[in-house]
Amino acid sequence: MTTAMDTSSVTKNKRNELTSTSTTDYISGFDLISIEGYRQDGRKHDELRNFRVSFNVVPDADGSCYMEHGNCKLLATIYGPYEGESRSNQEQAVITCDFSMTSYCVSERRLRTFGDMKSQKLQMAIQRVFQQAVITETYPKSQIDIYLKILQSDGNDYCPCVNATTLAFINAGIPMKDFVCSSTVGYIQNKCIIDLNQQEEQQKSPQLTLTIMPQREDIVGLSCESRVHHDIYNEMLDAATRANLQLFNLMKQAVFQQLKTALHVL
Amino acid sequence: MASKVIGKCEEKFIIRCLRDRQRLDHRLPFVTRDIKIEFREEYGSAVVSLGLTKVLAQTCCKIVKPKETRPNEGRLRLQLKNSHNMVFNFETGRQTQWTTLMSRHLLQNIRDSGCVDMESLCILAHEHVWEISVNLHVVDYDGNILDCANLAALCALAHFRYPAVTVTGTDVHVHSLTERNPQPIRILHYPIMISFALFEDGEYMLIDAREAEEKVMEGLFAIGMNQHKELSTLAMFGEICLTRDQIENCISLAHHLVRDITTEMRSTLEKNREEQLQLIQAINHR
Repeated sequence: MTTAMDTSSVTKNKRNELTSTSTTDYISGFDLISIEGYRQDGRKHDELRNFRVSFNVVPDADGSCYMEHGNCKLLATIYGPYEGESRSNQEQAVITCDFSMTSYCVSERRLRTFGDMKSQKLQMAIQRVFQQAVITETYPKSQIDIYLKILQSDGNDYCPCVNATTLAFINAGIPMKDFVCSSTVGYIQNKCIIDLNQQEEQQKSPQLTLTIMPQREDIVGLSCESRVHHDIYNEMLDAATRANLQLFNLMKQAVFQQLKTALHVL
Repeated sequence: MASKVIGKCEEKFIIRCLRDRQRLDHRLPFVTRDIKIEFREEYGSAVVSLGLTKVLAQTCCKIVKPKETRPNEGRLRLQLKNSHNMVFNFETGRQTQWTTLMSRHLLQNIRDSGCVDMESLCILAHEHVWEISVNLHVVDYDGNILDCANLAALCALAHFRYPAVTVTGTDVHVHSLTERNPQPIRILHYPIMISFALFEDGEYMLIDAREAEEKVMEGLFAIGMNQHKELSTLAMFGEICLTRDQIENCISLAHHLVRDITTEMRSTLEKNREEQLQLIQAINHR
């Protein structure tokens, strides 16, 4: 829909950010990727956003993880495994997920923070991903609860939620088949860009969300919600796999760092 | 997922048959059931049967104020409604969740993939646009609601006509059906959905699962695609994980089927259009 405009509009770009308060669905006046190959937030097409993790944030819970992925800040807490309720499975643990946002997580105060369509969809998606990823046979007749709270939202919540939940599970010491990493990829101006932020996501360009278990090379979740040709889809899938591997390395480093600090204390 | 109440011996029998690449109704694993498309008298009303699964689609239009973020685009609404058949088959309490999830995926497939030209539905930017609502009712359930409902919605949208409108300045005048012929909706491509049912940890795949097969399956992998091999939706339901090669196979299989289904749908639409023209000519000649 939008045609490429001139890229010498860096000052125009700054003025737009300061004065615009409403979210526009497409931003006219400047490119999403400049001629030099930099995106609006200074990243190149194959760079992830800033990634920061801290563990044991909620001392009461069995496992918790606070994650900052770019502008998205969220808290994942795990309670369990504990004795299951009446609908418990005889052979496996049951994993439930509860997702909510704070009312201050987006620029306009959000009144409906839980139970709406988006939250329900996300809950079901995370529940089905982790029901496979966690080795549930070790805890029959029990239940594991995942609580996710978005403190600051930047477009896609699903991917940071999946990553934070993986790390929270690792912090809780619950055995998993593999890490679960998730990231989005878009196709803007004939280039595959990974890890979209809100501005890039609101474009009407093809987008793909890939959730994989990196070491097993199993695709646990694949979701595409826009028209994309098969060849471009293959390119995007490649880019998304590379992005997930990068994310996996970052997550592994964070876990090892946590281990080292914990052992130091001892 | 749908109700999983099925006898253990029936479950074991179905899986045992899958190992020999057999199905209960003697179909090959990657063949859909017979598709029958019937258009009813009213514009935008279609009944699509996929074997014994039947979905009725009805379309209506309304003039509304557009969304603030998209002031020059029309709106599209799609809703899948339960019927007594489905209520009986689904677990109580979760049936609305499942239906709303399916409804949402159908809407994504049709609206977000750009199947309908939204800008052509604009009458006066920021003020008046057409809102097209498609209501889908499940008349008979025998597995594979997603594919059937998607096809029904597409047929209904292709068949629907909305009244012509003239805009003079800021005045909007809607012509009645006797003043001017109603116009069809501009459809850019037809995203057909093909669902793959997965069994035994992704080892066996079936297209177009019937009710008994749906009760046994572990999960569903739905691909929405048009005949030019452009993917419009990819969705995974249930506890399944696939490798990249499996997904590639699914896409190529789906492509073959989508081409056949699209040609069939187009020919049925053409036949219906010719019939209507003949009817109009017969009335005019009298």
